[in-house]
Amino acid sequence: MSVAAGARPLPRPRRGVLGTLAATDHKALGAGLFVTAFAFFLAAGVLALLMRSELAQPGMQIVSTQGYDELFTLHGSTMFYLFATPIAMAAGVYLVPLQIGAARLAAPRLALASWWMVIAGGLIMWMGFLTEQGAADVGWYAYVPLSDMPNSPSVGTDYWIVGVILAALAAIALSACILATIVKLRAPGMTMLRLPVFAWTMIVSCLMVVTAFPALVVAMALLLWQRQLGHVYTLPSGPIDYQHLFWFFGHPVVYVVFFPFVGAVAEAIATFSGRRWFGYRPFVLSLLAFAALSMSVWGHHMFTTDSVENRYFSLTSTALLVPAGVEYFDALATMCRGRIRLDQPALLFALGFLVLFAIGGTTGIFVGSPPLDYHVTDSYFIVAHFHYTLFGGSVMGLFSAIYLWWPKVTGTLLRRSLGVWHFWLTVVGMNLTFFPMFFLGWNGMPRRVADYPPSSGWQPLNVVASAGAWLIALSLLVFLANVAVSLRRRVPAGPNPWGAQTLEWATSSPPPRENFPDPLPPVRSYAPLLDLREEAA
Amino acid sequence: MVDTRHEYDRLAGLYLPIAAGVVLLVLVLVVGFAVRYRAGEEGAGRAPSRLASAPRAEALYVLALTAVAAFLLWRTFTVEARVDGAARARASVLVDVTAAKWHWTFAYPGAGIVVRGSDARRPTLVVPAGRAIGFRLASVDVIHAFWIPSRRFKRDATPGLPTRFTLVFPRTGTWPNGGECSEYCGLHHWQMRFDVRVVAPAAFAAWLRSGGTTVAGAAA
Amino acid sequence: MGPMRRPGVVVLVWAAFLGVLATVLWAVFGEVDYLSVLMPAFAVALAGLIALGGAGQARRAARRALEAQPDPDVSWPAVLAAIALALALLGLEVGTFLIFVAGGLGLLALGGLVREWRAERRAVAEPPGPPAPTAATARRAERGAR
Repeated sequence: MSVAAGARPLPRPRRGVLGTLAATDHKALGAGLFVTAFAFFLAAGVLALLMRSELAQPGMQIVSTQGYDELFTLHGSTMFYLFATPIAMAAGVYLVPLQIGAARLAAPRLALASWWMVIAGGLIMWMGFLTEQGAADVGWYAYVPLSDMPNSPSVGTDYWIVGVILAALAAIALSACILATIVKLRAPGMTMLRLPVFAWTMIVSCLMVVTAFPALVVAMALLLWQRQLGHVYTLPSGPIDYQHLFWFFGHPVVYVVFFPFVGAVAEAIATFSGRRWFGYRPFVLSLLAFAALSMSVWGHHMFTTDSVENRYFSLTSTALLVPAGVEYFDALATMCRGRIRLDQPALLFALGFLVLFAIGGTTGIFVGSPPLDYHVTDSYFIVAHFHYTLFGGSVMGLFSAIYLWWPKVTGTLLRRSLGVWHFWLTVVGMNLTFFPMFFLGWNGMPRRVADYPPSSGWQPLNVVASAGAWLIALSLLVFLANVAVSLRRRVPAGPNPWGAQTLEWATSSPPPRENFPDPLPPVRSYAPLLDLREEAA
Repeated sequence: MVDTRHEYDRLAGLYLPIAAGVVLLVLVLVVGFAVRYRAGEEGAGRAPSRLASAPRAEALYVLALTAVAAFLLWRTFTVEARVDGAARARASVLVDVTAAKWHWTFAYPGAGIVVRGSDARRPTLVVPAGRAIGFRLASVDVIHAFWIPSRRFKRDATPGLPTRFTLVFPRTGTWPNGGECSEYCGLHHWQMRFDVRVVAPAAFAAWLRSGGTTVAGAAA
Repeated sequence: MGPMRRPGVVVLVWAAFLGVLATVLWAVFGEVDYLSVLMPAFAVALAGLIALGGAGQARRAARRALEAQPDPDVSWPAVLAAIALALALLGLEVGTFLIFVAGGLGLLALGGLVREWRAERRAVAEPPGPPAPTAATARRAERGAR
């Protein structure tokens, strides 16, 4: 039972738009945070389009050098702090209570306050564009002494720091809520090893947030202090100390924004192959190892500083291929001898994830070797690497999640054929944009450059990359059109249109306020609904 | 003497084919399985397999992955020992590189030559071919990075933390924009470049003796 | 592995992995930098605390029936608390007056949250019946009746 004896079922609220902004229902809250984060994704995407359009030709045609520096700073910052981390948390806030058979999220008001901290932090960060000296222009990682007052006196940089602190605190609070929910509110029979795969990926993400994000808060608070009062990041060790603090956060964050979408991809592959996820226990163990490793590799961002033990960080970075390999084994084994519904966009994005993330992951092993990193780090090669993992990985996984869970959240279906168009435009656009960057970096083009000399010969590949960026923009327009059409001419969806396997599909679409008004099905594994179907067959 | 480009090319020649092979394997398996096991018309076809674990196979696979990782690490540590170890060896030529917003300065302490970049022209790094050149890198303001792509090597210039490394330039020639700053350092970061000019050892010795004027365009 | 009823075990396993890696950094490769030892140590310690906390919570939750705390449907005090924090941080940059404004808003928010907690406690303590009306539900009922 999901509702204890003696408690009353809560009435279905009529909240209105204003009420949704202050809702404590984890579903309204999760959806609101999701939409907020997606809006920041589109905003950061516009910045990227401006950058790519500028780089298509030598010379400054669209923005000034100062403007370009602000663009790449806000693009990276918005993507990490205001889009990717909040959207991962939003997926957890919405889905975790449903997947574990709970009626609510633990500490919902803390989660609600966190949503508003993301909104406030984002507005404050972007407010820099309205100031006289412009927004922050120190790069998303704001190395000291560049980000110190003598080198970056603009007030936009201070606003940026405040925005980052707010977003980081919000992420920590949201992670604490999700972890507490899993500890306290699991349905009877749902032991830890019967948690759905997505819930496990949320656990490791949230663990990394609460243990690694405080380093960011400290780094940023100290930076603010340094800028106002000095004497914090003093030479000779100050710049390296800052890098340790920052990258101790900065590496785990890329896994925080990756794991929930691995979980979504796993749920999609299992659902649309008609099989339960293969190798559950090795997968859980590999997630824990993956998360521990990801907190032990941060020095690989500092290989060229000659200030860290390169061999240790190379060891931990290369070791990542082991748990990553386990995940691929389980994904392929799940597909093997399944009945795969290839016409579904959720599955297509999941398969795209598998291939594109492989490019990102293998190039990650490449740069985990210090002698190789000495050439390609801080060049467009590394820009290509991390966009393959972040876009080819997290964003593809995000769209898999959207196509998978849209019916549950809205009670309607997205148009299938528009989804397939969206998928192919994304795959082509993404590869056109980022694959040439491997060659540009190898050939010597550094990153964060507003312009390049015509004699470099880099223009042709830059033109290809810029064309690809516009294709990505087109793919997003197709997606938004799909959303608009699907909300206007609604095709209703039942509780479980895909024949999926986990508890969120055992209630109506969308779920009522208390999530599970009827008794829950028995929980005997991580795929309770599949168990019922297989027993009946 | 350690040729960084040679070391890089050999190690990359190991890593890249493995990476490409893995990606190709994933692509073939994903597309292959998707097509081979795709659902037929509604109701037709076999039921999906119910097998959910293969612990022995997976354990063997993990061992194989660990072996691959160990192999890659062995090759990497070997190369890295050479590349980084070279810094500790004695070098026949010493160049002091100073990074500042937004110009490079090269000083040859033995000969008292200083080559300074300016807004008007990039500085030229003049080095002899086939010798181990010792570099001492420092920054006076923010973090910069000294990158010579043709040597496949870069090193950060962190204020307060001077660092040393050794490079070898096998062939003579001139590379305009052969060196770059690769750590974002502010407004003119993208313009902070230098030329590289590799000359025969005899010509280099003559250049040093002349106070840095005999090789055209090499003086500040 | 058994069915794993205790969530604390998860965190301990993860912390153990992390601790092993950190020990390798320190023992095999030599201490690199005080921060590179301090931060993993912090992470392991925090994970240990979470594990202990999780173990405690799980036991308490198992003893009680699943809680059904009647959260208020909307919580503007929570929103206000977030805005107050944002304004306080912004005040560090913009001016002290903003910090005072934020402090005031924060107190208001705290007051609102305390009222919400008190209303919840009353609702849980009462025997089953219609939910205790908060100001918001009372207003909504009024509006609905009109």
